[in-house]
Amino acid sequence: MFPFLYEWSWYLGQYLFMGAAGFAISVVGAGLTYCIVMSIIHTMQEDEHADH
Amino acid sequence: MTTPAFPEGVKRCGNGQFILWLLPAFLVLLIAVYAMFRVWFYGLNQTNMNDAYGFAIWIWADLAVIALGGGAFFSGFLAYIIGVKNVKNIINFAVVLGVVCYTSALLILGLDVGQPLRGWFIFWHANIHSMLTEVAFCLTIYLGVLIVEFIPVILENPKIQKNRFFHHMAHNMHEIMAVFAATGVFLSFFHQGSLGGVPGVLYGRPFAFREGLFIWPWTFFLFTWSAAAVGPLFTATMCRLAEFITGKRLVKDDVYRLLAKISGWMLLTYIIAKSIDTIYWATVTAPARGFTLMDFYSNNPAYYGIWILIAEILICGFLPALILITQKGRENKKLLFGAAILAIIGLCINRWVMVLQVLAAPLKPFQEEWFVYSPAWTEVITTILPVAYGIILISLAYRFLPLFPQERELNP
Repeated sequence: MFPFLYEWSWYLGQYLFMGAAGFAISVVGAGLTYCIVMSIIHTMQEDEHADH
Repeated sequence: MTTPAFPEGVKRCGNGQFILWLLPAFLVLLIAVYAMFRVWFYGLNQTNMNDAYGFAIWIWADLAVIALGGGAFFSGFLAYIIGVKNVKNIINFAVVLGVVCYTSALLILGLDVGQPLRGWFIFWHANIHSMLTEVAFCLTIYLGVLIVEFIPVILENPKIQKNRFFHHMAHNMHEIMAVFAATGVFLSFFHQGSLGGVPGVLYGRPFAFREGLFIWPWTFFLFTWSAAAVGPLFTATMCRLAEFITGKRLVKDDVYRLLAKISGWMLLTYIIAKSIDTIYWATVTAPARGFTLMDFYSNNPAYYGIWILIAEILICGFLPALILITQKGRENKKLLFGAAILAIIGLCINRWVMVLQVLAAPLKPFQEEWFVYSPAWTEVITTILPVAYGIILISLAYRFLPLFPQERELNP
């Protein structure tokens, strides 16, 4: 799974497989992070409006 | 009754009636969990597995629920990527069904490997040349995607919505749902396909082996296509069942008709491709290995006669497809759901044939008898487990979450 593991080989098949898996995980992770960050910002903005 | 915890403007049964409804499912679940722990604690000797059947009956259940759960990815594709608005009226329910199917599939796999504590080996020491490694990766990541798609549905519960952070979170997740849906489609394409690829690459088993395109046997594409075709029909049928049980209309008929039309054409193209594949296999691939078509459908237990091929392709393939592509067929609810049930049975037969009949066929020249398998009670009850678990999760989701946006309008 990672280059420091015994099974890892440096060739195209490995890059494609792990690249695709990593890409999918990254997209989902980035999407979730975006939602959490935006939700925090929106909630804080509402708090500021409430204070005014 | 109505409470602040229920979706706005809808009525639900009383708590006592709800608990009574769930009780039988909980009893089945309890027995299944006992069987599950027996398998994990004492080992796979609690099953009837043998040298011929190394995956028990679970492998069929696994492939079938994954294919039927395909409704989630294909409905997501239609709703968020193609932009078919009407599908959004059933997409939440499709996601819940998907979560039920995929968590069940992973649970069954956890039983099937016998050593669930070593389940992480397939990720850590990944053999990227194995179709099953691809299945494990895509299946696990896709379950994550499905849970992500399920989160905003949970957050839309009126009580949770009162929390402003969760309110914004649900809104923001809906905004970028297309990104999650696209990732789900990508992952589903590969794991549905690789599940089909597994029998297709078995060149030592002429009943399963298929030629194909580059590294992918034709079964790779047939499995993905069939899951995309029948998955939405399964979603529609389960929705209709929910309507029957609750005594309410949950989605408008045009949603059913739309899903039926799309699935009908998908099913027709799939079954034509499947027929071509079968004819090519029967006339070229199998004879090249010294077999005729009837070698695989005779001299074996009655349940593997030629009838199984006729049932899969004609009765549960062409027949429902032809009903669903005609307007008259779609407008008659009994015909529509009759065709949907036939298509679901056809898909289950296909998965049965591609794993269990493959394992039943004799491998060596001195073996004349087909292998017969009768599952142990532990296998049967744990195979029923997803049904009980599904009833519980769907009932809870229906009670507390806004699964059907049209419910309020249809039940004033």
